[in-house]
Amino acid sequence: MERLVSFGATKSRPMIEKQFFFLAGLPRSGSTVLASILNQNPEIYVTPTSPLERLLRENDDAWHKTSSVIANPFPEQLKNMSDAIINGCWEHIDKPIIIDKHRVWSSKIPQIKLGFGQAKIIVTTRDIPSILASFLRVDRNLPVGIGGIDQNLIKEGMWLNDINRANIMWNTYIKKTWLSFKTGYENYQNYLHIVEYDDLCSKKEEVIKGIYNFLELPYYKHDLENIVNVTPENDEESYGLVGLHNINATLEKTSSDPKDILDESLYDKYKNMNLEFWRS
Amino acid sequence: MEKTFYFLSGLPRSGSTVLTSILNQHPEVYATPTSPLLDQLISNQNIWRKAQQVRANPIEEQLTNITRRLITAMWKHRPEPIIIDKNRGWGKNMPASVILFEKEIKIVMVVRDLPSIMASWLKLLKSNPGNHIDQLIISNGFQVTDETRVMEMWNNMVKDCYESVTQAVKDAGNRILIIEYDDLIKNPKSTLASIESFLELSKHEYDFNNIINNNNDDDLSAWGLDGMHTIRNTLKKTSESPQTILGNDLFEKFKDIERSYRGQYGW
Repeated sequence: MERLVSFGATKSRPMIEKQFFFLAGLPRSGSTVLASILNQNPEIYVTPTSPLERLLRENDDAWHKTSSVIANPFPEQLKNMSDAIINGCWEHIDKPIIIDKHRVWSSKIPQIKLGFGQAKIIVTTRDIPSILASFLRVDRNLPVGIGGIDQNLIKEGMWLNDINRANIMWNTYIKKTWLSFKTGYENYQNYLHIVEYDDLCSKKEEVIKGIYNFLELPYYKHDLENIVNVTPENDEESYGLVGLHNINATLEKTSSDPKDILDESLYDKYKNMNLEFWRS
Repeated sequence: MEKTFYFLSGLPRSGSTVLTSILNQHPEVYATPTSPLLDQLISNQNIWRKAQQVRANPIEEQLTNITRRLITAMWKHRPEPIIIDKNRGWGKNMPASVILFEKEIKIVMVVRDLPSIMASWLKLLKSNPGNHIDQLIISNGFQVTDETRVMEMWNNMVKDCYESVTQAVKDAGNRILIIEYDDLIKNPKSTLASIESFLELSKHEYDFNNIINNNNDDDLSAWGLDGMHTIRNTLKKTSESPQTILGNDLFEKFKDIERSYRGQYGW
């Protein structure tokens, strides 16, 4: 069981200088494009995948393990450190509202409430076969060399075929996030706002309005014909895949039917696993 | 409110607990027990640099801002405006401290003659039967004797503290005040006056007959030795001489080691 005293848990209120919201969600489900839209708002900064949760959790762990803390523990330190990390993390961003993006947030509602005071998490979702198809498309479009997925397969001594590729993608890129979302959904559904990728593409304005409503922020008129990613990430360094966070300027649904990319048996295999619990 | 920071470091068994207890009588000063600040700043740096999310998109300003705020956060719950942060590690990290604090911090270092330090450790080990040092000696295949005990302490702990002091003298000689344990015990008033003047503190009348350590110091859980930070409420030299406690051979041996260190680095 994870300790719930994480993130400087004390009864006193956190002293957080900016307003914090969270963006989680499944991979390949539009979180980058959603972030790019929301970043048009001069008041809002949606972070690239953020180190904040990890900084909070591991600093908390380190503090508990320090000998001098064991000798003389001052619990106020933990709470003030948590405030320090939260306030310092995006201090260099000149915007009052931060939407901190990390897939793990959907399962960390109690910690968020303790550390930040309130918890509102936007979760982007998409059916699993389409996520797999999207990963495969990125992998096939790599400019040169062998992509991260194939390198992993080679390391494991497995054949380079789409069945194995899908298997490794599900197990290493998707499953953990899916579980984190499932935990949050089953226990703290009220704190989550689900955004389906297909809706984001087809009913942009309605979806964006729904988000503003959920966050209780005044609506901002976004330019949905000219979407630019202002927080690019070094995907090759982190994931061994180039182009994971490249987006289209106009948010048209360009992806083809997942059945065209996965072959039919592979599509059926994941379809029949019925992994889309949030739709039932 | 931003606080003013100083460091307290130096040799073990050299009066840092009694000195912090005296300094804590000063209404503007909070002298910490051994502080987690340095460890926390190092941990945070490592956590930040290793995080995949940082490696994908590193912004040094983020680390600088978090570091600065962690320094402020650590003793924020104390009302005093002046913090004297105690950690043996500061001596070896004076150049790093300039980067972390974005300024040159002054450091007070307590020292004591080496035979007395070793005699004090030996007494502590003897009053903690089954302590981890004794266990270490046994697991290394040796017998627990006065000699193996003090040699283990020297090699595993005290030597490193000596090197820390010499390192600080080298790196930050112009902002160190060295306090000899014997001076603190014999002339507390003038010793405290020299600290006040070095740290630019306001003058305070200290009560040297009623010295209290306000910390609980769970030494057994933290360091495996009970009584490490227990102090008397008056300043008195221990009655037994280090020569009596250590015996002649060990006394001479540590006298020699001490000469080589102090002579080499001139403190």
